[in-house]
Amino acid sequence: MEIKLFDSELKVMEVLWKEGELSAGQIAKMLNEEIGWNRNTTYTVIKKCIEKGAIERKEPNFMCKALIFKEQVQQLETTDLINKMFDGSMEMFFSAFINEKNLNGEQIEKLKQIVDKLK
Amino acid sequence: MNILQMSIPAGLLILFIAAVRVFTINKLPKKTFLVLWIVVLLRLILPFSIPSRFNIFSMLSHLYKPETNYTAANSDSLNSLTKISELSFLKPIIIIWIIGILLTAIFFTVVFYKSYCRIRAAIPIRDNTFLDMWLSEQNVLRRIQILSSDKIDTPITCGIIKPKIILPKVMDINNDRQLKHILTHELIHIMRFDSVWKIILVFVVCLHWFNPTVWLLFILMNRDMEITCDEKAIKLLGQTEKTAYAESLISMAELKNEISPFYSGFSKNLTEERIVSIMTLKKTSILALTVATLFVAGATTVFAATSDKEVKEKKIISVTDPTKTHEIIITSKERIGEVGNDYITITESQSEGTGSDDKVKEFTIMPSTGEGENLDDSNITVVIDGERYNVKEVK
Repeated sequence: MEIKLFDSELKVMEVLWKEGELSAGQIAKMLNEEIGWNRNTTYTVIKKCIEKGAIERKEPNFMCKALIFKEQVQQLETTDLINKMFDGSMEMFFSAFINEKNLNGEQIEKLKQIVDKLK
Repeated sequence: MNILQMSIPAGLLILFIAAVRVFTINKLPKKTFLVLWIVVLLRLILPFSIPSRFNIFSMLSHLYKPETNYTAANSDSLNSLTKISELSFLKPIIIIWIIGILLTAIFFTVVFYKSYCRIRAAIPIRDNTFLDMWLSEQNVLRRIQILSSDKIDTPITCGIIKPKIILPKVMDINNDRQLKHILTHELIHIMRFDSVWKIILVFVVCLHWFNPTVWLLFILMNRDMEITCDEKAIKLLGQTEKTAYAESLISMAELKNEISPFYSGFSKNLTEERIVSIMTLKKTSILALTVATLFVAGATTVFAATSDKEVKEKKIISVTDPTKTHEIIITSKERIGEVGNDYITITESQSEGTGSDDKVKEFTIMPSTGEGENLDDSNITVVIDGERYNVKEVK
């Protein structure tokens, strides 16, 4: 099931991914300090997330629990990007980015190790 | 002064300016039109005006003479008239006007709210060295915040006390040159308090919702705010940046567009006009400046003032029948529905002449404000004790 999230919703999800379960009020307070959103704004975004199935609301206290993981969203967004910009070709995507310009020697070594592990 | 007396001359002025604008928008300094629109706004908001000889009404009145025949009515219709006058503030036309204001206000509130919902969850842009540097270079008293939103497609400026520039996510914020153009443009909106002007415009449109020229004013003034903003931006950035700035405008317009009456944005609709305006920008000649000044002064005098002929002109009239009471009601032909002292003050002056001639009374009438047509014997009725009388003579 694909959930499309706006940047604002991702911001709320990031808070939950970092801190675990929090009440809506706590999330609002954190985001107010971090990016200046007022309470109503944060609550509206949280409600949007709940509608999309990304957050589960638990009573009491309007506790919020993330229903999707960061990795899932990363996968989703990247696949979307690859489909859009690289015609769905994973190899084209990687070859566009794995070059000397984007990666230094150390990073290339690390990548090699990851590929080796998969073999 | 009532709403029509403000709306109609303003409407004429708007049409006049709009007509001239078609031909001269690229020949006169763009600020000219903004100043003219502000003159119109003042006319639409302020319920008083400056008397002057050369005003549109006295010019028009030479072409048109109000009808002078009048027939006396009987007391019955007068009584009903008096009753109407007591309830004059509830006239159906006024109720319609108020409903119109409410509907227009609701319309704008809905539009505003939709825009607001879209941009309130914008996220501040951090860790962008160019932006941080640019912000620190500005010396605006209010602190400006720059944010990003994936729900808009053109840059938007909003906020009066805490101004915010919101950039669309689809915009390439690594293109420093383009970014500088956009930011400079938005900065000028902030410095000129365009958000406030937009609110004033909406307020005026709500009051004058019935006047289509006021909607025209709304469109044209918004456009001219953008165009003068471009003018100032190029002044700040330098003439050499002109072409690149125009290219930035085009890039912004290529992202999908939105129309918002509240926030200053880049809209595809005006883009063509603005590009032409920018590319034909040249140093303002003395001639153009002179023409512009005369234009503004002339337009203001002719349309924004009212005739001084009606101000405080005393008339003495003789009435052919005496009255036993002191309750004299004098109306002009046009004002038959509005009876009473709000229009005219009446003092009973000393009757001259012989004692037997007590059928003649003299009254001094003075218009209480400088409005309305000239009072003469053809358009004044005197109502005494429910009986109407034509005025015998006016001295």
